Amino acid sequence: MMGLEAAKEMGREAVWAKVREAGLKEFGVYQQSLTEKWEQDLAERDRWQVPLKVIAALNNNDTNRALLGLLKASASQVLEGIQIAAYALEAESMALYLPEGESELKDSLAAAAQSAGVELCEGIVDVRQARGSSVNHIETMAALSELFCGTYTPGSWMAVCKEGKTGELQKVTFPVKVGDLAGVSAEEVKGVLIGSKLYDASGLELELTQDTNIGNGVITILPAGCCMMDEEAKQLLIQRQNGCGRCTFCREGMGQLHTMVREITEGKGKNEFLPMLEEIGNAMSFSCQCSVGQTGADFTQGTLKYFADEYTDHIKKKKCAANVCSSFMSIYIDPSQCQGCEECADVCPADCIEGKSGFIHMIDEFDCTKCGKCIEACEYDAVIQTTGRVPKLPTRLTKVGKFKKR
Amino acid sequence: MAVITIDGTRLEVPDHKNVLDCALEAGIYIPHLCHHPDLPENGSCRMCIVEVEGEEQPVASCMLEAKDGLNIRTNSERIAKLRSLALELLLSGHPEDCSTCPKYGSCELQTLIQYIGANNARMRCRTKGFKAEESNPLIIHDMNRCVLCGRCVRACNDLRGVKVLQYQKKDLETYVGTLHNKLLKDADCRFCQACTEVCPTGTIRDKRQLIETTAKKEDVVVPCRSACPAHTDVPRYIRFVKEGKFDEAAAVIREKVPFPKALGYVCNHVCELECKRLEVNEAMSIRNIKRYAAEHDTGSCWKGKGKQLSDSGKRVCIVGGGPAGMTAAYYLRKQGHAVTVKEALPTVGGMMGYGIPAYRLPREIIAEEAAVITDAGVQVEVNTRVKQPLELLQQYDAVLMAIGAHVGARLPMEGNDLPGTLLNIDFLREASLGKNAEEIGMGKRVIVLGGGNVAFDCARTAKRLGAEEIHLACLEAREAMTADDEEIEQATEEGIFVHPAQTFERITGTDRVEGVDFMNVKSFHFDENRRAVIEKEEGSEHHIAADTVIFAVGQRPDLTEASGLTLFRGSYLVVEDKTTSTTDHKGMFAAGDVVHGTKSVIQAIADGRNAAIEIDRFLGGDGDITETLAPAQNPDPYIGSIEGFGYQERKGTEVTPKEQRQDNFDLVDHGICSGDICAEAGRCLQCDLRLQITPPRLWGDYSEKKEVQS
Repeated sequence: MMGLEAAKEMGREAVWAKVREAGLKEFGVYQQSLTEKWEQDLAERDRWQVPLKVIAALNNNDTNRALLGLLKASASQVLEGIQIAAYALEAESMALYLPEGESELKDSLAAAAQSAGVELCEGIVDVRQARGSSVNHIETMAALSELFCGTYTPGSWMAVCKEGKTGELQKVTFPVKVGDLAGVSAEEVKGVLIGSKLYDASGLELELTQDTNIGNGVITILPAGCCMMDEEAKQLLIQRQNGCGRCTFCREGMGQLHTMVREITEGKGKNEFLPMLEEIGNAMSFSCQCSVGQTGADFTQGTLKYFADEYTDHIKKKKCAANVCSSFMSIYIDPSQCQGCEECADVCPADCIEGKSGFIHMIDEFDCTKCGKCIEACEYDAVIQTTGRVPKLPTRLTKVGKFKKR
Repeated sequence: MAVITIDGTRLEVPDHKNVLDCALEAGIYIPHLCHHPDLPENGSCRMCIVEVEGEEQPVASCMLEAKDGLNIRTNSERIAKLRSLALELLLSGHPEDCSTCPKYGSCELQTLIQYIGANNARMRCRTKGFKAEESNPLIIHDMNRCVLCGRCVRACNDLRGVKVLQYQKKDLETYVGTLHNKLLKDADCRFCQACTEVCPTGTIRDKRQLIETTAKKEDVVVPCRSACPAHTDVPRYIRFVKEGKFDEAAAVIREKVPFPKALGYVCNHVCELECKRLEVNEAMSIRNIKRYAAEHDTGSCWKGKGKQLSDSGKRVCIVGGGPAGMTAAYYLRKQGHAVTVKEALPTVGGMMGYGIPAYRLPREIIAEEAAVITDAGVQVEVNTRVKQPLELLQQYDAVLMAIGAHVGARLPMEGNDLPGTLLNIDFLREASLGKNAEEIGMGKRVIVLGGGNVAFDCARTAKRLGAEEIHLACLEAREAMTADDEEIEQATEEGIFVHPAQTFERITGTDRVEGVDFMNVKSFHFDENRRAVIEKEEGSEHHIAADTVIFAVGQRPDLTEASGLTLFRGSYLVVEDKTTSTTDHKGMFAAGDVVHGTKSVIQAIADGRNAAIEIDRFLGGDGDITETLAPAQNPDPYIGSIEGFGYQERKGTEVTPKEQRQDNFDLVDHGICSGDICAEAGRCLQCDLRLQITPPRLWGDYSEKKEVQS
């Protein structure tokens, strides 16, 4: 509680001066000088004429949640930061938002939050409810506490996400090159996400500075073998599930983007989707009230900029170069390799593999969902997945070894 | 104050006010959907976007604060495109065909489509696939038509504080509903229907279709008030009762009727049949709430405060001192006319005093309420039967015939004139005058023919006069009997035998009544010519022995052609097109049962008011008899949530046990007790609150205004 006492001792005006002098910034999506932000918050409070509340939260669009690590490591620091902010703003109440499903963390914080007078809330921040409140990033609150404890150093907490796994948070001092942080070579990489912004492999060359918008502080590496259309569909799905559904452009706009991209991955894409993706994506960035919608089209705008060829491949050439989008694939059983062991037929969830012991098995392409379970099940590597031409296959039950190609 | 410029028009507006409101109030239309003047802003639909000088991106004007020097454009190519895109997005999940929607023609979304001119052609469209929720009372939810403007959520949470409706998510689809999709009743909905009122689309709708009827909106929204013939402001006095303000409540009732207490005892309460609470569980006990208010009224709100115009010098004679006549007399006196009531019987009150038995309506109540009328200056001449009404016109400027229907009908059947046959109204009148069974000519075994309230009054009066065995028989089946259920129930408790679905074959006996032959009715209905079609059950003939038969099959007015007045169906007075009180004799008016046949006390009062208006106009007045007696009421729209509200039961009344009530004419029903009255009043859905909500103004309303300006 050193920081809070120090702040109270020096008085409110001095607190503002110190924050201003240190150049402390709001972290996350909405980078700006903290004192300027607070001034705006106070003006908003005057406008809506509600009791001022200091809220600490992640950005709503942060589904990675890496920065929750700050809370896990030092909850007291974040809570103290909230109290200092509340003191500076003369707030009447305080709240800390945890994303949905973090009940373990919530329980562990309960006692400390209660003694600090901070209400614990769950879910994303409802910006309409929070009108006239001062919403600050959790990282900002941690930095504020450090500032008044005398331990503050400039920089940001960041993490690297590779193969779907987010690494340890590390304090990064700027400037720094993305590639150095990520620790990967350009050949392994197809795309790089810095926060919610998408780049191609050249993103590794970017130098992050104090002023770069690093969003949730996570650098996500999209490996060379991935399909951008598939990644985009996944991202859009996650953000659609994350949104609260109030803003038209977030709810319906992201819905349109997701539907179009999903249809593209299913081979049902059309040329006219591209201008629509562009038009809706551009409008979303300024037509929504929180970061979910505002950054919801970031990935799409990145793919349109850096990966236009993948759209063309999927829409016009009807192919997925990375062999990821299953709609463009065929799976067949190589008649010269099949030993008639029936393993593939046993695992097929669609029940579309015909054959019996000692006979060459056949996949009914019509019913096949291309789930790939048969490929894993086959001990003889006889189940083949291809985007190319399928060779001549038996059309009726044929004994192993009896099928002739011509 | 701030000075802002919208499309070149300079406006002086209060600080902090949002730009959309500033524009709309100045008659400048900016399209909007999620905005509603009574609700906090949502800022979600993006219809109201505008360009602000010096800002890069368009902003929603509903979220934009008016600041000095703000320069705004409400339209540009870019704005038009973005607005259109927003609407296209909204339409991507909305049913395409407007013409099948019940809100067609009054839908705010539809008018926006027309104004902006967008459709869903560029969108990936989908059907949301929700099942329309129709199992709630009063309200239908069809979430397929919802565009998530969130007005209903804000109305329910912020305006009403009920907090039942919330945004919900199912898979990827957002919708509005209750937690876990509970039925509204189980979610403690107050059924105020604010959600329905603010919904701009056909998503949340009234089950009673407002849209399809031609009735006035306030009549459909507050059906109790419109159902009451006198249009008593039911929700207003119920609210006063809930607050324990009985004087105020009684004053509200007195604004429309001069017999609040009598009505509290005997009104046929058509309001309760229309009460919306009936669809939730049970109707409000409106009559008993009125009774409680009237009984606990000290008169502090209305006594000496009503209107009294100075004397007009005109003289009015009212023939008949029943509810119609006395009501007309009261209001005509207040309009400044000299009013004389001529009453044939020893006291005023009409059917209230001589038809309705004293155990239902104690006589001192009639006297007490009539005294208010005489205190206002109305002259009453009792025991004065008018034989030649037209002659009155020589002395008076106007005459109102309000003589009621005091002649009982005798069925054309064998034995109908045998000694021992009595007529309903004669029987009740004589009982009311205090005669005993012998004087009236009633024996020990009585059969009452008829199934209405009057029949039950006769049967129960016979019981109190000492009859030992009483039968009541009627043509209608039990369900179709017109008497109130509580009448039938109490009569049965008192040992009266009720025989529904009977034909009356003949009254037997030679020198006097010995009984009645009946047959069972198999089916009974009226054909297209309104003639009764009766199918009897073969071989069901049976006999009930009796020494007295009372006909209770209707009454008619005591009038003949000899009066010189124009009559129809033998004894009813003819008025212009049935809704007025004016007859074809100049200066001669008619009101109440003498015009319509037997109706109800409240109908007679409503008629009396109407007659007063017409007579006042005839005499040169303005016909305005409205009065404001109760203090202004500013009901709190924030009604909050009440656990189990939809299940709160209608409070019963205290009734004298059957053993103690059969040998006397003491009051039987004592109304709702003090401990229950506020709870009963608290059950009210307060349908009238909905009328406080600002109705939508569509773009058409603005363009007209703009044209006028230019």
